[in-house]
Amino acid sequence: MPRTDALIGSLDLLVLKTLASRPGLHGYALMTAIQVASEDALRVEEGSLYPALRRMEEAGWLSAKWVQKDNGRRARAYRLTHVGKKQLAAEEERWLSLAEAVRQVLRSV
Amino acid sequence: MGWITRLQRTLRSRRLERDLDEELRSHLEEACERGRDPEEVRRAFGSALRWREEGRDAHVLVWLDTLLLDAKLGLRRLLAARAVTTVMVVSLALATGSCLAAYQLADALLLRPLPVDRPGQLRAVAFGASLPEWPTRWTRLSYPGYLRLERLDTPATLFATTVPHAHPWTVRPPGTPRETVEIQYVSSSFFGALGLAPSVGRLFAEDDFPDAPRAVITQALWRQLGAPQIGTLLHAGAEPVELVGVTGPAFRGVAPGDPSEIFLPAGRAPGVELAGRNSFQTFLRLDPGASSDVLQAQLFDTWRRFEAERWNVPGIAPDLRRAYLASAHLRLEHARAGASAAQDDYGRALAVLSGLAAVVLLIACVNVAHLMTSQALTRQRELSLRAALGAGRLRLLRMMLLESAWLSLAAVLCGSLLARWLAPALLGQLASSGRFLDLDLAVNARVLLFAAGLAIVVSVLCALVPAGQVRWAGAAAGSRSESRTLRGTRALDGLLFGQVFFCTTVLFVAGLLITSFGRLTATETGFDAEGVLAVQVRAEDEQPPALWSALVERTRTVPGVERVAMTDWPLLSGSGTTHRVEAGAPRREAMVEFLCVSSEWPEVLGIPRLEGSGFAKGIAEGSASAVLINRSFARHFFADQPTLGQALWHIDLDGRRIEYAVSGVVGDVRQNDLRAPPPLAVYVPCAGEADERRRHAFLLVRGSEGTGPWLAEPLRSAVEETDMFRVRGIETQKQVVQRQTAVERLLALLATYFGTASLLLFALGLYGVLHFLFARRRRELSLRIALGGRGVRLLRDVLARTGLAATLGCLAGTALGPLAGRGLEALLFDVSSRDPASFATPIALVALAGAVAAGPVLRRALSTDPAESLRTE
Repeated sequence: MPRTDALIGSLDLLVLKTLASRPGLHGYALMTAIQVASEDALRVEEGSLYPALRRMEEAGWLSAKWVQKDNGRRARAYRLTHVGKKQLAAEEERWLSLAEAVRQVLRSV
Repeated sequence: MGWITRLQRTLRSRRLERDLDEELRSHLEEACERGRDPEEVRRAFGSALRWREEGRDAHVLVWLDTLLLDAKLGLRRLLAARAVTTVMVVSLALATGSCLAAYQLADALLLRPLPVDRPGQLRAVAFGASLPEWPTRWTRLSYPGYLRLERLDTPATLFATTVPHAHPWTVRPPGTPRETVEIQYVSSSFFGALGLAPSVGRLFAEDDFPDAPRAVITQALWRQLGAPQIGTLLHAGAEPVELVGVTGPAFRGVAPGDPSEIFLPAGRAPGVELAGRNSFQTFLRLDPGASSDVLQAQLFDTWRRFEAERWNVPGIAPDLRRAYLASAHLRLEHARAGASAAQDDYGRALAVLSGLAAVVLLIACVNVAHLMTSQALTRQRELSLRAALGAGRLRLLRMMLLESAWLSLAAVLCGSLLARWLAPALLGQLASSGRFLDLDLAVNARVLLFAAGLAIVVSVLCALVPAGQVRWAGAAAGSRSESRTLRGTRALDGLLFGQVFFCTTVLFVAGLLITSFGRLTATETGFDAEGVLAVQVRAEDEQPPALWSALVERTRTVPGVERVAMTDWPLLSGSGTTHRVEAGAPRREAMVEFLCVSSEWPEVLGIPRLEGSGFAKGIAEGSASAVLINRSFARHFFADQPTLGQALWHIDLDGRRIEYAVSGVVGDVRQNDLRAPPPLAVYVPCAGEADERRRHAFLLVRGSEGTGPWLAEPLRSAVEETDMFRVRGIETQKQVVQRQTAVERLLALLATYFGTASLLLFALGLYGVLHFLFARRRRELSLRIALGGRGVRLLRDVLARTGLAATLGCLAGTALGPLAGRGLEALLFDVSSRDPASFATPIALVALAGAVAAGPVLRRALSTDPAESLRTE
């Protein structure tokens, strides 16, 4: 069963990281990519993903443009901006230090 | 994302929404194609509205979005209360229109920079002296005097011009709308110092001076004349002049209100060589970095020496000369907007107009604030609800501001339409009193900026008090409504106080101006201007008295003409000549008015002959030295002694004594200035043996059956029967007198307009407040009436506070009135701001307007059927 609540606080990081390695994904593909990469452990809800994408676009981390999909339908493809790459580095560092802190707590208790 | 992108997104919010919808659909379809349950995907998206809102929140600038929403809401609310909104817009439009008109006039006359190079560097030279009965400031200098200043080595370029003067076309070119053309004589440095370039031909060069018969004309005149070739002869003024060039499109001279059309070299001006003929206004352009003070001292020194020489003649008493030179002064005044007599004459009147317009605008704003506060009080429930739902204080404040912004926008738009009519109408009113002001009232960036500023000020002023109500509505959303309403009605009382205060002040000032005009027009002039035409005649050359006498005889034969007299100028035309006179026993000396008149002059003007019967009687027939004197002269010099045959001596500037003998005494008349008492006057015969050859004169014609336009043409034909004489203008003596009161007439008219407007606004405001007060307490009043309460007592309860506010406002207004009146004293004639009548009228008018406004509301309140009203509740 995919865990959606595990995403709290890490959605931005996941989106940024995924787009860093696979630029030009649209919303659905992005969602699937996260799910596949986490081997079905994490699933992003649509209701969280799209507002997050808007927010990050607003903040200037992402850029988006309309592309034609194989089925002829249009979709918005997202890419990291220069600011977004910096943000990814910061988010990664934050996450790693948080994970380290949690690990230390688990070990000592 | 930058502000501009955000703004663009806000304005394109619909497209963004469409994009979001499309992305959502695309996602949904792809998910379904991959086998997901559509319902499950929809649930995962959550509420579409929330999704969209979140997306939009991230995308657009929420603030701007809600601003637009609030603006729409405000507009809808205003449109819903159409009657009240109309009253508010009309009040504000009246006031903003007046303000805009006042500003447009002030801009055209006083503020607009001349269309020349760096107008800020221009200065006008003004002179003054502190002698009794002497002008404290004048701006003109003789040409020899100007040349003396020009030759100085100064850090400035000096130039001089005469005042533009209407001259008849000797050959009127086709296409010109008028018989006359405005001619201005300019010094050689005029165009150069102003930094002007020609649009056709060239401007003046050194070899055009002193008096080459060449002319530069304005582009407007050039167009009217059908764009004549350079070198064309223009038949204006004494001799034909050759057109050498045309100025740039906007240039109309340096005297706002008095534009020029033809510029001629200064040397061609009549009397240019006379040191005593002050007809040139001196300007200068300061060199960059030059000190105005040092230059002023330098110019003053030279001018004072020039004046000392000029006044060093036997005809001027040494004491007077010393006093003049001791008190003479020279000042450099900023002339960014040019300098003209019109600016001097109307600057103060415009200040009064602007002051009155500003106060009326305040009244209108108070009025609207009043109505908006009443509305805010009736909207308490809505405002409290909004506050409870989380609308912050600022949001509610913004709603109020937006509503008043709509109002002020509508008002400024309507007001500018009113101003488009009002400003020219005011100029037309001046023209009808014989003082033509030619101003360019085109709307420019400054006027638009003023209108925009006005709109902002009005929005803020109108929203200020209602916004106060919003504040407490927000803060005390849960508290008892009674205490809130109490605070609200207090605000209304405060506004009513302000309204009555401003209204009384305007009425007080208006009363002073109207009374002043009334007294001035009712002033006993001592002569009968009714039915007299003044015909200005100019001879081709200087003509001997005999020819002028023949001209008088010729015009007397025109059918419908009863009497004709000849004179230098009509009474009260503003012209005058004073001479030093010695007479009486013991000998006394005084400055006396001299006027050349023909023998029938007293009869034509209905001036009573008190002694003697003319120049020819009383003394030797045809005596060259026979003169008439007026009653004041007789009293001053001869007191109780017999007057006829007495001698008097005119001491001319060279100290020569010219003897006259009194052959008659006539009644006193106001001679040069309607405001000044009749001067001591001597009337010397004109068109008689004593008169010299002359070129100009006025014929005063009294018709047998009154005068009218029908008499003008026959008179013109009679005068122009020979080629020797030409008529330069015909007007009634009454028009000449009316010109003396042009400013006062304008001010009285404005005072009536603003007084009426402020009374109307006050009445509207009072009606609104009372209506609100009674509507709010209808239930309580109905109950009290049902329980047997007496009407008068109930009214007293409701109106006690309102009445007190109005009374206090009225008292404060009458207290301020005299202070405002003191600032106006220079414009008032025979009226004092301490006069009890000045106080009584505004109070009575305010009381009357109050009664008219309150009457219908009170009557309705008292005639309420309690049962009916309670049922409605």
